[in-house]
Amino acid sequence: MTEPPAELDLRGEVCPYTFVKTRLALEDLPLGAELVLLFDNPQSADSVPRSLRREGQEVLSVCEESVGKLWRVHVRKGKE
Amino acid sequence: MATLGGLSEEQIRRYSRQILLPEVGGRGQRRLLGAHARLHADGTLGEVAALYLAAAGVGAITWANDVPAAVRECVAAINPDCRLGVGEPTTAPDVELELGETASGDRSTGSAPRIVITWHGRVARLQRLLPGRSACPLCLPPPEGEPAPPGPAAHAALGSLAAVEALNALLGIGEPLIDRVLELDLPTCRVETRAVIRRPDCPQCGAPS
Repeated sequence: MTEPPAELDLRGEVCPYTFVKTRLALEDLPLGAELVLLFDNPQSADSVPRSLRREGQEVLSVCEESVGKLWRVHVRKGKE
Repeated sequence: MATLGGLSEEQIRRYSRQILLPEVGGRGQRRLLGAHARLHADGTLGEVAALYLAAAGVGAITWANDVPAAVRECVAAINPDCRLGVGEPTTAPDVELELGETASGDRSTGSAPRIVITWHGRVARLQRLLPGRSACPLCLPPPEGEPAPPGPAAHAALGSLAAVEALNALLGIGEPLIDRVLELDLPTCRVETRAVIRRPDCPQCGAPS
């Protein structure tokens, strides 16, 4: 059975710490592992996926679960 | 308490800009926090180098000689994680910095890389030595030119450069100044990097006769 991806709850956190913490979490994961990020600020929901793509990570989905309040970003580690 | 990547919440916030650098990241930051630098330098040179090493998160700094209490307080304020010492270190340093007019890289005793800044006339030189394996400052002939010792502002710039090279050594990044020298002609602001060949007859690092 496949394990569910690890989740990093970044609600209440702001830029740049959302991205700093995302990078730290990804660093500890093996290549190909998946991570789900939760954000509650629109700036991070926009900038973190963009920065992740720029660094060679695979952003699988960006889902606005509650309009203007909660975003769920699914990412796969594609680069060390 | 560790939160992410072995770093506490406070450390993540303190070093966030550095963690974002691709060549540093969480792993590099942890390496710096576990690193020990030894300083053989007096005055502004050593003080500025210590401030930047501490700001980068180096975990321990040992001065060979005593330093003003105000400087130690400043370093401690910049980085409360940094353990400060004076005199003989209790653990082997990971990098040594020897900075000063008469520095030659011979005041260190271990095998750690040595960052050396010296000046001859108006030219300041920065090198990284691998003890017994790379060219030392005495492998170079003294540069020509009228003597013009660097002033306090130049000392601060040189101390910063020494910290940069020490951090590169600790992180294993950059193009090391090994068998190369960075020369700064301070009055003219000319900067040059050139190769240095280890001299077999060097009075310091050459083969014993």
